[in-house]
Amino acid sequence: MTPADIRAEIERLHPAGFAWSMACCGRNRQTAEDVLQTSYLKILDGRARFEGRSSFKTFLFGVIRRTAAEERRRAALAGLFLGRAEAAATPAAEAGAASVDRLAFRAALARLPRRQREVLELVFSFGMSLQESAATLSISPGAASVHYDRAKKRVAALLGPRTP
Amino acid sequence: MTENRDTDPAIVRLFEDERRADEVTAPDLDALLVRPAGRRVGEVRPGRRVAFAAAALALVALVAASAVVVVRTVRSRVRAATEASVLPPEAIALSTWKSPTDAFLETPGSDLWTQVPDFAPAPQPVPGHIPISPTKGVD
Repeated sequence: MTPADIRAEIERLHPAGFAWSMACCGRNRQTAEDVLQTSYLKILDGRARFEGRSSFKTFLFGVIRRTAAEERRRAALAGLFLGRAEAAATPAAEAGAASVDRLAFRAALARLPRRQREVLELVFSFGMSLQESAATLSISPGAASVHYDRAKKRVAALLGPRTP
Repeated sequence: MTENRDTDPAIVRLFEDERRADEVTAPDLDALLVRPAGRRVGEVRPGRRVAFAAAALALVALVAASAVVVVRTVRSRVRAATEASVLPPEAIALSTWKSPTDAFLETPGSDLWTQVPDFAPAPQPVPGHIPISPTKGVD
């Protein structure tokens, strides 16, 4: 892919990329924007190279996930050594605008282990298959399937029966 | 996609609503790319760099001090054990001391209590000698 193609792909996937970054950053908008900016710059300046082994969407989401993980580690180290507490990932401002259903939904998602939550988000929110989700998360398809199954049951149990 | 066929549609809709809400509020891409890089992930601010360097130095100093303490402790223990294994001359002299009247305690045959007597070997049979066989009085 040429740099122009990469730029075009990023533009096309930008809204979804931001939504995925929000999911990876515990819905902290500031951190999500930082992570997204860093991820784009990594791709554009060649630090993260698209080899064509998967779709560009899978690649981009993988870069965003790894960058968010770096940010979490950096924040944890800063808190550990410098005693600096990072901003809590509580989206208070947007929580006011969210419906009760969405708040309950977010609370249920927050109770899932990270991997389970990520697989569910990729499948349900972004329409990925389990194979694509596994590639994005750098895990085996079998592991993704197990995470998916457990997460789905857990969310259903937490939210209870619902009517569409 | 076949994975979510057996899932409650209301839950699937919640996921999609969440994603749409985030997508609508996505920042402008160009503005995101050209904004100041002060908060880029993985890039350390100068102030933090100093703090990290100080923390790293403190950590190294702590490790070095711990190593010195451990080495000194081990060396002192080894030295103490070595010194304990060397007996003073007085102790050696006491262990080899014998009473001048010790010989009076030795009685005839007392050596039999401390060592096994050495018997002479059995005599070899003389050629032509017929050993006497017991006949119990009957020829």
